[in-house]
Amino acid sequence: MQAFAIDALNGISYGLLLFMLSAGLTLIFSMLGVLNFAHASFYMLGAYLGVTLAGTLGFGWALVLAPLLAAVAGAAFERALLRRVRPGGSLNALLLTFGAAAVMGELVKLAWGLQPLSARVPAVLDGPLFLLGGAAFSRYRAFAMGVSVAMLGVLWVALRVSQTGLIVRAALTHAKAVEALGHDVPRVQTLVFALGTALAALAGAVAAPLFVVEPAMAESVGSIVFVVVVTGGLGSLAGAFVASLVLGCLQSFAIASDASLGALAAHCGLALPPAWRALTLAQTAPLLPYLLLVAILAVRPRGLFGQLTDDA
Amino acid sequence: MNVSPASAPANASVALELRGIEKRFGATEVLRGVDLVVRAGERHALIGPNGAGKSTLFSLIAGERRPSAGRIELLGADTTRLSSAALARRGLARSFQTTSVFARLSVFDNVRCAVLASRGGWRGCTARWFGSREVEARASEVLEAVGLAARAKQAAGGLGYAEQRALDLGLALAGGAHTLLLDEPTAGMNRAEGARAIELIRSVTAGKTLLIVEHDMDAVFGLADRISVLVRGRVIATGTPDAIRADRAVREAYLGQGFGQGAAP
Amino acid sequence: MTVRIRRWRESSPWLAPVVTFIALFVALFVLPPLVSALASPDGVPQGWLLACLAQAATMVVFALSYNLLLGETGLLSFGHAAPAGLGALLAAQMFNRHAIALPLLPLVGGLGGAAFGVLTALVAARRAGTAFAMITLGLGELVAAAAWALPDWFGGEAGVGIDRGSGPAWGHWTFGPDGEAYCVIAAWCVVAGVAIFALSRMPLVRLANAVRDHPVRAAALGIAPARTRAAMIVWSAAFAGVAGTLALINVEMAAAESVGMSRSAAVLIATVTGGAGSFFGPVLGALVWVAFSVGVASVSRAWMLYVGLFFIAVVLAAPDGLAGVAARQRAWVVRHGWRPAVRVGAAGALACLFGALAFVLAVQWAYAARLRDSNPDAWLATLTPRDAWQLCGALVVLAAAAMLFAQRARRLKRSFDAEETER
Repeated sequence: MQAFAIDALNGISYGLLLFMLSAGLTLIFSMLGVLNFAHASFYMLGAYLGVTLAGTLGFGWALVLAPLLAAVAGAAFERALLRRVRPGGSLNALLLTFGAAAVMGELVKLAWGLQPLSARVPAVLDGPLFLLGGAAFSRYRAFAMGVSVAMLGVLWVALRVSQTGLIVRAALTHAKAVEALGHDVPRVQTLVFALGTALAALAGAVAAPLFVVEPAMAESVGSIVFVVVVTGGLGSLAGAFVASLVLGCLQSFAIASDASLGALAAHCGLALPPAWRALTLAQTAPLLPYLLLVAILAVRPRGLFGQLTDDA
Repeated sequence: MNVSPASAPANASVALELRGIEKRFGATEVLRGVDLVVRAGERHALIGPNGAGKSTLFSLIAGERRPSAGRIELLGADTTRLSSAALARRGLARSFQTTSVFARLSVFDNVRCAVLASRGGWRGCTARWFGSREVEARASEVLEAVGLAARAKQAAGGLGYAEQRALDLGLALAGGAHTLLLDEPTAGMNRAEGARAIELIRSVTAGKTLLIVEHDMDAVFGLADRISVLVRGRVIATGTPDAIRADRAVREAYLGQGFGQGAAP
Repeated sequence: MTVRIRRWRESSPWLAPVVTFIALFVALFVLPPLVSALASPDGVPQGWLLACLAQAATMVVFALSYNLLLGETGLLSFGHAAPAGLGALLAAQMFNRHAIALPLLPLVGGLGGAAFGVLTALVAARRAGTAFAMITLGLGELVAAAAWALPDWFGGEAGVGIDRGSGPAWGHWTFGPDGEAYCVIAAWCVVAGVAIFALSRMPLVRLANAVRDHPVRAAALGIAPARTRAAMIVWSAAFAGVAGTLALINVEMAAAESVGMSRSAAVLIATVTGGAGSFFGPVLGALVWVAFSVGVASVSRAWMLYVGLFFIAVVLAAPDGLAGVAARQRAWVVRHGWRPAVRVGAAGALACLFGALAFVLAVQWAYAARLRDSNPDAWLATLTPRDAWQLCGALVVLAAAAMLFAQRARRLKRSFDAEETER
């Protein structure tokens, strides 16, 4: 029971990090109509910057500066390149962000080398927060959860309360009308893109001590984030939230469990060949996000909360 | 389902019927109970001031959206919840208001696709694989009828606006549908072009049932057999052009909009 | 002369592209091995040349199959390596268990790929655009992760191997030697290329084009977009399975790498840079990709950076790819004549040359300085400060020269265009 609670908390903290990533991605998609394939690259950039800055300026400053630097990079990318390609259609823009992701990966390799970086958890956040039975819930994971919730809360309030937030919310669905009212919609779009990449970088900086910081981290997290966004329904923040949490908990339980596929199959009354029976659930954990994607899309092609589009 | 290139069947006297159609978007009621009867073989126009709900009604009939309440019947069969592809297979074709040709295909290929789409069964299957002289002959025939035979090999995206509208009409005709929905066929045209477009429509749609949603009332008055007037989500009058011109309720609705040239006050 | 060629092309629209394809094939895949065989002392072509050309032939078929999705149906797929690798896996397993002649193996691979295509279509055919791309990404990652997690299928880290010579022989040919296997691969390259071309001329694919250009209009005509897309997905996956099997024949192994995301990215980059709007675009892109990934990669660590930047440049400046650029240049030459084209072309080529030289030097310098190890460009890291400043100066001069020539090319082009409009 205690293990279940700890696993659930771990799953929720992972899910919230995923949501921080997919929220930024969904905002960018809703505002610019482009799915930013390089989103995970900005996550990776945030992780690398966070680790490097934490070494010199301390963890706190790293958490503030890494997202800011990433936001500047994102804004520059949007203004210089993405804006020129958007009139050509959403697929062209997607291809551009795909190329940008590849180039960013190479540049990170050039700047920081191929070896994984070790990120240290700051002493004040190290150690268990509380113990349930024999299992511990680490303080740092609680901190990560706290940062995610706080950031998303700030975002929600800013969008609801501020003038710019109002313009952003209006331009999400009616960009031309907002432009006709005299607002500088392209500037708002750059702002939203920078905001999205800042969220991704913050997630990276926070997650750096939890996961391995290496050049391949962008690809592995990226695919999961895109799966989350499509499963939840492209453009839907609520869908991304539900999908992130479901996925986070699913992964957490799968990795923590030591059930084997054979035992599970026997439970359902099926017999599996010997090589499959020996596989543990933990070994198949990397497959779960994609199996979830296929399962949900087979039943509901537009995702959990997606809108009917012109795909016809 | 194979649609033979024929006009509306003679035994059914009603081609399209709408009963009690309502449409709400959230709390906004756009259509509040529309009843409409389009007889087989007639040219029926739907007019109304801005915001009356013409586009919404059109999208409901064309299968783009579902009504919140009410019933749509095509040739007596319930088609309320059918998609636009299913409606096309039952012989209902539509034109589009905005650019809607296949820009990167040639003009001939555009029409050929439309013809192919209406051919089902084994013949349709072989036609899709190996081509079919019958399909190509019909495509050429349609191109002649809309006056684009000279442009057959050009990419459709390169045509001028009026020619694209003509091609759009050709696409709607090519499948041999018996009922045509035309969405503002003279939009964006000056008086001369609009008159030519109406003439083209008149010549190629002989014998078919036509429902035209239009803004340009003069164009419509020359073409239509009967006119329905949609105001604030309800049909307030249906009748011959002269009856509509004289109807007081209609004139009140259009007060100050220059309704009908030379109409009696 | 040009009038006669034009009339010949109009009379039979099939003939010209097929003849061009076969001519290109002979020039690239038949002549070099023959020349190499003649030049070598024992009458056998060089092994590395055959391996390289076999890779190129495989990539050509792979890219052509990808273009059935991207160019003809407008569907961007991030997981195209899955049907290719799964087709190869099926072929490998079947070859090891039954007696199938090696030349017929790609048919098995094609069936395997098509089966995966059916699964993909069931999940993804109702979507298009970005949603479809992300679904294929998820499916591709699923297969890639399954290949590592479920070792039984893919024979663990070593993959499923085949021994080419162990199958039934055709006359004298056992297909064990590299030359015989190469003949099979090259023959299949032609067959698959012509087959894909023939498929792309059929009215069925015009319907797919219609769905690509305007799905709502197509639906209003009675064309079901989901069904049309599903058909194209299956065809594309089938030919991908063929390509995967050709790779299997080349390296005699179907490994987890063959369904990896890097292969999916490779075919995407090849097709987009070559040009998705024509038949020869993907062919060109495949050859360029192999040149980079085999040629440039053997001398420089930075090859992926070059590919990425080149890809971005294509997407920004020439969305219709190299083939589109070539077509536009040809149209320009036809309008303005050869001599102006040569003048503009010379200036442009010099600009590209100097610019590329400066860029490559800078990048290699950065890489050498960062990753100090024993590579061909390691000498760049050991420069004295004086030499370093001289190198900087050289870079500046090269860049300036590139810009000057580019400006001259642009000015020449503009003046010729102005002359043309005056006429």
